[in-house]
Amino acid sequence: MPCWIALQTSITTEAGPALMDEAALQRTVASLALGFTPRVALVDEAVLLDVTGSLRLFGGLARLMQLLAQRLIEFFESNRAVPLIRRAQGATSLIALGRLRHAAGKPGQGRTRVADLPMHTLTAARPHLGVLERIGCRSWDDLLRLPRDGVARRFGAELLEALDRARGSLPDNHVWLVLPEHFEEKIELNALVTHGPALMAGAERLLASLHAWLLGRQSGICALRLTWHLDKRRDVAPTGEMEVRTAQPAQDLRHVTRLIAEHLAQQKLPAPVHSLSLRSLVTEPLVDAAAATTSLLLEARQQGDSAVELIERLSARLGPAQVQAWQPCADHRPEQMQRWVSAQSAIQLIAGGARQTRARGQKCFKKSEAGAARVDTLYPTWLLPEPLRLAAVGDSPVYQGPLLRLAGPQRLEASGWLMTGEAAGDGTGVRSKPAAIRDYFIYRSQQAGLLWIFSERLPVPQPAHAQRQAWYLHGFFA
Amino acid sequence: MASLSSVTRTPAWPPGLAQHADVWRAAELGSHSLPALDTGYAPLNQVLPGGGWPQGALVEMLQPQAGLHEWGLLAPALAAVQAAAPAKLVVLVGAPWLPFGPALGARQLNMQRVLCVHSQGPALLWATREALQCADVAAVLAWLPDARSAHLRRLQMAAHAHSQLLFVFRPLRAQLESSPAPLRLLVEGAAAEEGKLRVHVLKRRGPPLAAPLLLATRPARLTALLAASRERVRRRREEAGGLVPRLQPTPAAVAVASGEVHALLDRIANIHHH
Repeated sequence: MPCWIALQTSITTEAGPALMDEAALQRTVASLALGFTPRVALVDEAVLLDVTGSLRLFGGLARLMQLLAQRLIEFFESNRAVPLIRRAQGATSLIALGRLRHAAGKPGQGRTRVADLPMHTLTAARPHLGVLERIGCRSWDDLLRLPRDGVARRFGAELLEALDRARGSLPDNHVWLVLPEHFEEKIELNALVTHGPALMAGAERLLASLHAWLLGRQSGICALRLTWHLDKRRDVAPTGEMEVRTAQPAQDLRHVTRLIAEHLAQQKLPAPVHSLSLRSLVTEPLVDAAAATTSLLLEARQQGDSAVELIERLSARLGPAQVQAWQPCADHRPEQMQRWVSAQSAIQLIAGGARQTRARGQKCFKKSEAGAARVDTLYPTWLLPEPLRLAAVGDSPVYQGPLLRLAGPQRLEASGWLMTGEAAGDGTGVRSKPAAIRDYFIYRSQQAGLLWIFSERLPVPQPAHAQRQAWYLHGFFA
Repeated sequence: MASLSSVTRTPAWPPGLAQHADVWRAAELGSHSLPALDTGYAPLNQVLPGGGWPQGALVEMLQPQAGLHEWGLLAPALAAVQAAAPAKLVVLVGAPWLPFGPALGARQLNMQRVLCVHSQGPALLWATREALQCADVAAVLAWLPDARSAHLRRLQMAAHAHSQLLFVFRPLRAQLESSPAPLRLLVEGAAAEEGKLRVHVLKRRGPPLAAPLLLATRPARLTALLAASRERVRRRREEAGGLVPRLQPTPAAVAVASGEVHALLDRIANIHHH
């Protein structure tokens, strides 16, 4: 048995008109409804859903209605608006719509018998309401009792057709709503905006409809582009734009919103902005989106942010180079044994949960076994990013006062064949020097604890004036 | 009755008061209501309320210079945290130098799960707070030389709300300022005591600590190496009749070494094997 739901939503809070107008609101509700059934149509002021095929999946009509209302309320509350949802149900789309309209005039009439629905609830009857009233046709039933030929002659075939559709003897001819492959929306701002962070208000409106679009398509966003259109009277580029990417497809846009806010906070606008547009670049379907949004586990996990969100947020404000993760390298020179790389580039590796770590565990283990010689307690725990040239008094280095040599030397060939290629030319300071030998010593300073200091000398004999040793501080034993 | 027969030095608690973890006698060590984490050093555990680093409270450490004693003191606890939750991150905010993976790996730290955040000024505080709010973070180490008491109070509240391990390192001049941290330590190296770490407990839930603790935080191999070198210097001095004051690589030794075929001549290992 077919089952239809008619929905009408209005926003009751002050924020209502600012967030979205009537048409946008209807579209938003329709996108959200697409999460429950693919057969959604926009008819007049209402959204009609054919849920016949979805009843079983969602566990019956009552449960589906409840979920639908819950989804709508959650969505609008996340955008700081309180929705007023009116809904009615019927065996055909026009019955559901008729009941919805009837209940709007007389609250509590959501379950009126079809025969008793007043004439004005049928769209096709609206031009003829006066005549129908005068001939005593007040309800659908009254009209159906009249001879069909006479009704067709007097009021036209459309009215009869609409009644037949309402009774289910003719099929529905709605245009089903299909969401576009890519989200693209442009809005005019209420006022010219000259200040980057102030664009956030407009961006939030766009993100709200993006959120609805994502819910409707049951997918998550990975990358989006926000474009702002600048005042054309200024002699600057007509638009500015930024791209935001996340490592994990997100359907809940709170994280994306914060990322955009971070980027906008640093944005300098060369001219006033009059409109904003938002385009989705990469989306990924979420397999179990319907289940995931109502999952208790997900709610529990949202107590704090995930590592991915943390890294992305820190990188957005401080710059990607400021948030670093560690990577080992197979090399015998201390400064080449490790690399601190931008955490965002290695985000999948870092944030991959325990599952990934375990899966990669076997391979990693072997690799780290091979490099096990590199793990050594005799190395310092802090390394200077660039060795610090120390002053020397006589034959020994000085750092915050005189130093006492405790151990050493440990000899390292710091360059040679490894340095001839890429590193020989580009490095600065110590690294750019040709083949050199380092003797590492452990020194003790009164103030600074144990220091890792090396003296560098070239392997080929040097003239006497160049024989002076160069001392470099390279690390601390903390 | 019992109290009449034998004078007990610690009378029984008034009923109903003993359950409160936040109430403690002035002369005894308070028991933290927070879960505590083994520091890895038994003498330190004994003087800390709850028997370890408090989880969900700010631990403030003052030291003469940033980057001197952090890893020795914290590495055992951090390694334990990482072993318990391998997927979680340890976040370093404003670290003074680059943490050196090979050495920290030797202290059982998983460097793959360490995140290093560099910044200056107020952004450091922001990054610390963000890290505390993250569910995938196990511990936060922050070097905040310019933080004021109000900033620390906010961090303390964040650490408490999210029950995170938080260590804040500050310079010695902060000693005179008030601090919202329930646990404050002053850490300095004791050069005369074979490089042990001297830990003063400035503030804790309990009576002030009379004498500072001495902790041997250096790895055993490093200690052995230093002892061996010292021994060698002493022997040389004896052989030379006290004429050569220090161990110096003689020019002859260097000439021999530079002629070596091997790229790496690990003389430290030789010394160690003697």
